[in-house]
Amino acid sequence: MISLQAVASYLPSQSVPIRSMQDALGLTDAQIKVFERFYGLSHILRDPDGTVVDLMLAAAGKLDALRGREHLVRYVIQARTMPVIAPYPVNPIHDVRAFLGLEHAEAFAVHNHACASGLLAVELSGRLLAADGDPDALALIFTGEKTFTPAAQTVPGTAVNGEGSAAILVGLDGDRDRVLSYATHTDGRFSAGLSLSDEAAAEFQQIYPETLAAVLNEAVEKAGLTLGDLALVLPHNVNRVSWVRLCKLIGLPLDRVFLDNVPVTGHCFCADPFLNYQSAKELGRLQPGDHYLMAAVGLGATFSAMVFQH
Amino acid sequence: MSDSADDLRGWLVQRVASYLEKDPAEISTSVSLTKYGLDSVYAFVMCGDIEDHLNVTLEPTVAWDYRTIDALAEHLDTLGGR
Repeated sequence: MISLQAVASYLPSQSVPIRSMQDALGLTDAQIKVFERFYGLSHILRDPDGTVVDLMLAAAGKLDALRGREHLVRYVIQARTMPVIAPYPVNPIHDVRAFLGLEHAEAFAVHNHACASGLLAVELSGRLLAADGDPDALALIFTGEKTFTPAAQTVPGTAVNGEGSAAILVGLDGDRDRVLSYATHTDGRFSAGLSLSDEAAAEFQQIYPETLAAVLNEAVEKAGLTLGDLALVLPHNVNRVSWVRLCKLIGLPLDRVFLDNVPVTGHCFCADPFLNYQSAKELGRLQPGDHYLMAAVGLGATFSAMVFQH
Repeated sequence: MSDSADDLRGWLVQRVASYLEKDPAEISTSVSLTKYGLDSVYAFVMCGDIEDHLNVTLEPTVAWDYRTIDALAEHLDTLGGR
């Protein structure tokens, strides 16, 4: 069974009020007011002098479980939202692989599920490791991106993006943070992503809660559980109100969703659920044996959920 | 609908018209606000304006739950604000 053998996160020290970014992001006074008052957004984190390689290495530097086990790593995977993040022939995940002395491992990126690609990478690495047949082999996944262009800094009308990162060590065997199920659904009607027409964007807003609710329910059913069995939901940090809406729809108490990081980190692409895992663990919100669910939605549009046992 | 709801409906028509930069006479109270192109940000702007106007705290989901001015005015009337 796939398990998260270790998770480490890196939160840059520079905290930026979203209000200070109003002009840079072209946000109206109304948008800022809505972001703060209803969306629960306040600040984001940035590492202005660092590259995406620095982001990944900072998270890897905290991954103590990797030390001495480098030779077991078979895959190094960058799970990212943006398809292009560096000019050819620069390849950040290959650079990270070299810095960490993992040249023996295959290195590649997945981005097809946009901000839901982190959960896709966990599922994919589990399948690859299982097919290889070595019970001790590991996959090392990186999430988190640079907000290096205006388009990378915001999801218009929805979120402000930040630069936190996470490194995740995945193995086939382990008695902690075992993956019990995975559900995902891609609705190609919204494949234009950030370039949806106004009509399609309104349609996406309408179908969002029902589609995400269906994926959450599918994941918990596959795990042999109900939503009531979940101790915690580790969400995306796009905004708070989307979770208020979802919780109302499915009857899940809002305090079961870990929203503490929304005003602190903003939306950190594929890293959100893993940053939230680390924070929740540090705050004692996860106890041994607890069932929890990670959820992510990627523009395009992909809705994903993964159920674990801590 | 009570007088209070009628007042609210008129006030909402004025607000929606200002968000959309349209003449209030162009706004029908029975047409879905999304049909007019009122995006999610302005739906929440409207929530904030309603809270300030009526001195109530709204569930932020009212922007999705009540799609027309008529439905919204009736809901707000039941809250008994002001």
